[in-house]
Amino acid sequence: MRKKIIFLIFVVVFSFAKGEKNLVIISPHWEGIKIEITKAFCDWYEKNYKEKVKVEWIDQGGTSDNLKYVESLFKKNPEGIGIDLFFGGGLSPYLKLKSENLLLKYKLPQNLLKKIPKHCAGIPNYDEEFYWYGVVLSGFGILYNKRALKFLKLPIAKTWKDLGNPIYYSLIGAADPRHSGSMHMMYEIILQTYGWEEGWRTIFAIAGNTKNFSTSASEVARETSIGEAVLSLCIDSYALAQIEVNGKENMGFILPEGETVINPDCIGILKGAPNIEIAKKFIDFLFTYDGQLLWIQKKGKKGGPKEYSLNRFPVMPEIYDNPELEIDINPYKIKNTIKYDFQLAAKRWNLIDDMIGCMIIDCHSELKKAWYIISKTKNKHLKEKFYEIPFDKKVQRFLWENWKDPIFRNRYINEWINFSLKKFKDIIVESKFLM
Amino acid sequence: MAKEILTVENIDKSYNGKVVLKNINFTVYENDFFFILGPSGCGKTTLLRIIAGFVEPDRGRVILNKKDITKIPPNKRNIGFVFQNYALWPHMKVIENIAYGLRVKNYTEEFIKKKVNEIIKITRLEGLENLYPSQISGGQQQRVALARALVVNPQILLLDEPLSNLDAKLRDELRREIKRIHKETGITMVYVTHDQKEAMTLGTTIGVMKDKEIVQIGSPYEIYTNPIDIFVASFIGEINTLKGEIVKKEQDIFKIETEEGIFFVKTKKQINSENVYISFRPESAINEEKVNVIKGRLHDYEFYGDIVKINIITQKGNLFKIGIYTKDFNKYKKGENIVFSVSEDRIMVFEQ
Amino acid sequence: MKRKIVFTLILIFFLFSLVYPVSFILLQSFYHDGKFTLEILKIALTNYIIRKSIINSFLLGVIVVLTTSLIGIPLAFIFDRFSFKGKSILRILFLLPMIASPFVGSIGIKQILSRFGSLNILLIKLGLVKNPISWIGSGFLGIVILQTLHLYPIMFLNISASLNNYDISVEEASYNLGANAFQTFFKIIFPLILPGFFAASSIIFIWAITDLGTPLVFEFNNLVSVKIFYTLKDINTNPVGYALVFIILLLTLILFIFTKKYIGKTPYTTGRTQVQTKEKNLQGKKLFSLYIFLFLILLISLIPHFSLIFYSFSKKWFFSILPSEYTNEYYKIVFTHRLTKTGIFNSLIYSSVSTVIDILFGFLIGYILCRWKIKGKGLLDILSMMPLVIPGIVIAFGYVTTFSNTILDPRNNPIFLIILSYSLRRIPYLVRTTYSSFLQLDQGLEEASYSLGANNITTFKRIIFPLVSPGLFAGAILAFAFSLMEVSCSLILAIREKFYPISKVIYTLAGRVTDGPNTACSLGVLGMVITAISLFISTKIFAKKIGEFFRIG
Repeated sequence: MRKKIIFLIFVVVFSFAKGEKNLVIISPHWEGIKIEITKAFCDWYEKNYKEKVKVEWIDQGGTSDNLKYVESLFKKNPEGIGIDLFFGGGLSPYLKLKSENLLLKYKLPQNLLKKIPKHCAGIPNYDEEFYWYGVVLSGFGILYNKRALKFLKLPIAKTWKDLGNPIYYSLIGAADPRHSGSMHMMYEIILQTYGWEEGWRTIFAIAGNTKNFSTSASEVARETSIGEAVLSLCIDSYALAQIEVNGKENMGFILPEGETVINPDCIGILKGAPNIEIAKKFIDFLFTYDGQLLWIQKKGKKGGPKEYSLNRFPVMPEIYDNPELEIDINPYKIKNTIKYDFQLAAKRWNLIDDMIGCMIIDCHSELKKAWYIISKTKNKHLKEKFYEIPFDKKVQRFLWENWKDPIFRNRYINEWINFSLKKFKDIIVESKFLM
Repeated sequence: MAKEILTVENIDKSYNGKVVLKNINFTVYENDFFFILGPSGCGKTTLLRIIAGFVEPDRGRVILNKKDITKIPPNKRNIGFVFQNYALWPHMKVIENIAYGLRVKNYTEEFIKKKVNEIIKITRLEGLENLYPSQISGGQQQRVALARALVVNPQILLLDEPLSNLDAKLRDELRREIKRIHKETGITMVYVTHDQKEAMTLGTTIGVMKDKEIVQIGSPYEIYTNPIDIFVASFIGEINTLKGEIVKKEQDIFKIETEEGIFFVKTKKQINSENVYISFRPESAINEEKVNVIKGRLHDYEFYGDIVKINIITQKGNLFKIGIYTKDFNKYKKGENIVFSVSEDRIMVFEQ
Repeated sequence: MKRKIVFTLILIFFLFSLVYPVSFILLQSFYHDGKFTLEILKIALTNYIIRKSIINSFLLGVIVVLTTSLIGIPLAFIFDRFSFKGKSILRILFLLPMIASPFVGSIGIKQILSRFGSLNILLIKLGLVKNPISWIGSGFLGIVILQTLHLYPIMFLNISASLNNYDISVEEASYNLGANAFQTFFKIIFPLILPGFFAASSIIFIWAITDLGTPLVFEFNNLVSVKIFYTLKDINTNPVGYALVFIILLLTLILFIFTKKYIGKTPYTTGRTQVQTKEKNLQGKKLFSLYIFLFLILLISLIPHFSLIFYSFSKKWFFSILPSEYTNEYYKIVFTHRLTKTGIFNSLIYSSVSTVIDILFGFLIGYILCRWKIKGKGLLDILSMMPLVIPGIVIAFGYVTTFSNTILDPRNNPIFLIILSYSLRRIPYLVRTTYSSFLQLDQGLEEASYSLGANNITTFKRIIFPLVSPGLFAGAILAFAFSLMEVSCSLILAIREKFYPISKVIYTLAGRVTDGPNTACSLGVLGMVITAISLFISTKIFAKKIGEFFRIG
């Protein structure tokens, strides 16, 4: 009896695991993208290569979680981790992966490559050494709930700085950059827009107004639509999706003028990819005209997705000439972007994550209390103290260069948390003397 | 000589170092209604379960029809068993309960039907066939248990206190019923009980158990009139007892001195000690002043219907129970002094 | 001999599925680079955010125990002391909150509690508040609410059982000797219900601190369970996760031993005679207010379920109390969408295979515990009850870390480990049901069969199995339903989409933009219905004894 059961279990287990060659992709893209891309790619592949292929998606939460996961796996298995492609999550993870020698070089066929401009708004669309390619372009902005703003009689924030206005106390939605890559981009953009000091002041002020930090960027968008957050940091695709569901009269999205960037959302082949040939074909497909049109065409339309509108901006400029498109934004025509230093961003990625993590998110309840007091008392001294950072701008280079050393990193992390806690608690205590 | 059906040889059993049965030996003959009688906790149920094969003895053998079955599992022994709480299967109807034993032996449906109907008639269960055990009375459940055990024609039927869960009236009724079934089927039975009345009225042979051992085996009459020791004597019926000392022995007449004077006892028993108990049963005394006299005041009486037991307290303060017929009771008055005597062959002697 | 083989096989099962992974965690918490160290534990305890998480988790546990007591204890007394119409139906209704895990419920309730959710809109429309109130806040309050509403039946059941255990005469004796109601409560009633209270409290406490799904949905990350979940992703570079799991394990074991000792020491059962009854008949106003009270509690505790149902049917639910447009599209999606379809299929396979394993092991272990005399029975007893105590998150964590880079690595194929974890976690239910069935089963019933010539197999088929099967069936249904909606192991062990069970699909969908949350809710409602039906059938079979599943020891 028992033998039969054990045998049965093995049959079940192995019937799942029978040797099909699947393309394995790790990606934080949402379900709709995965479904539409899978469908389109499989059809395309079968048509062109007379062979069936399956795509399997892995996700650990957000971009940062996927990155950590991949790095952790490579540490144990340096030759390969059974995953073919890293897809989505902006540009910076690819710089990081490339610097760690975890990507494989692949040059697109010339006929495809020539259609993609080298840059968009000053940011490269693909790696000069062909380790990664930008597939679509992302804009970063502010999603807001029109009805809630109207009810609360509050204006729309037009710039990042506006979000730090105390009138929005506890109404802002934002997420943890340690989990969400797109959120990390927002903070990096703010830092590069305003410069180190002013940038941090803005981030601190926004954090003071943030209701609480979510884990994922998509959740921030959803919370904005149910009014838990009234304005939020948001990537264009999530914002457009929420607007599509709840109506243009209820929700809105703006790109802060002169304060944002257009950032490619990339793809790269991981070292030791078990299905490297299919992985190359997958990238080829993404840069065909059809593979690009899919991202922006509304669902049900010709060349568009079947079930879900993806609302992403393709990297191929040709697409925007298609007269059947219903969109008026062309990322190549957006002029007022900042000059974004993506090399710098990649270098200090983990440092910024940990700074925001330690100095803001991990002591957010204390930070919020302090911010509330400051907005009530309007005391200048306390406000200055609120913005304090435990090290000078010049030190940051030294920090990020050594950030890989866990002992070095942990020492600072603990120091910063204690510093920030003390700072916010002091503000709360001092304010009592002022009153 | 009747045929030997069951022999139990030198059985020992202990649980976790605690001895439950010690050197049990007896034989049951064909058509016997063998009783194992003993107070609760003396090991009699364990003995029965050893015979049935539910418990393995530490030592000794069980022989059924000249075959050693000690190592044979219970389902291969063909021994019927009636459980104290009947153990009827609650998920089966009466008829299914009864037919079970035949079904598992793969008899034809026709045969099963015939046999079941037969046994239902014998046990008078007509009309209850399609009810569930929970829908019938305790007495009826007991009959089903009997029927279930009997239908497979076991070589021997074991009954474990089958009447103990019933009230007095039902018990009497079923006792007669079992006796009738025994007669009608002629099956050899081994019956465990602590109720001496059951053993006396039904049994052909009684084995009296005391504290892990069988102390006496014999017919009810033998055991009643000639018990081996004072335990058996008192367990099997009421006795009056006095301590005494043998002062003289002539042939088979003992002269014994007691608090109440000298008693003469006639017995063939071998007595090896000076200090003895002398006992007699209440009905052995007669209202005459002869030898072995007991004088005392009529203190109280217990009325039993056909007989009355009167209590006499002697001057020394000893209490005796004397049985008389109710029709003679009007001779006596409470508080009066009366005299009784017991003939010398009706007195039993036991070593102290 | 045969017995020894079977017994050893069962022990090996527990060794492999329970003892080994747990020991592995313990080892990893204290061994680093081949030598004994307290460093990892030290990091865990000195890191501010981790310390904060531990404190938060502890607080959460204590608060939820208190809130569930506040609802559960009065309810138990009402059901013990008063008789009123519809009592038996209400008793079942009060078990309803358990049909949806708070994780699923929290997806729907966000729509109610958010700043411009149903509750605030209602309050604003009624003119009760001017500005919307932030109910969810940091998310902590939301977790407390959801867990309380989910877990109070456990308190209710345990206290009810305690009250049921003693006769009203013990109270009357107290009054008779001159004590007042107050004294009687604290000197007599309270000590009598204390074991039940402790038993319930420890389950609720452990449940609350190891719940992973609810805090994930509310995005409240400063809890030990969530930290464990996230540390798993970089466990090779950051061993703090081991220490966290160790802390959870330690806490649960302390509670378990304490409860076991405490309850073991105080066998407070006075036995109830059937003549006396504690129940009073209520009439008029009192009866009316009792009904109002009961219905109010019931209504509140079912809000998560209602919100889930509404959300699953809503086409548009923006700035209104209830959805403004309805659709059944999401239920269609549930049965056609690739991810939901795989999820349902996977869960059905995982749950049924693990239930079969449970039936087999539960039956064997129940039988062995009840009927065999064999060395090591005590050990088997403890092992088979252990999964009730050791939280799912610990088991899942243990599996991922222990079996990574082996043939069983969940990153490649988690089927074996998911089934193993499901079956391990539900074994106690089956052991308990079969054990109690065997206890009630008079040994004579089996012996009667043997004495009539039936062999082991026939006796098993015709007598033992039919008599034990109602209990086995009830336990199996419950095990199946709970496995179907299992959260912690599902979230942690299923890493590849094609192996996702229902819970992980719900979690994934809930985080998706556009129609994801609605579809997640539809799937949640589906699971809720299945659980409700299973619970109902089991309750019918087991009557009041359903409470036995939710007790330790």
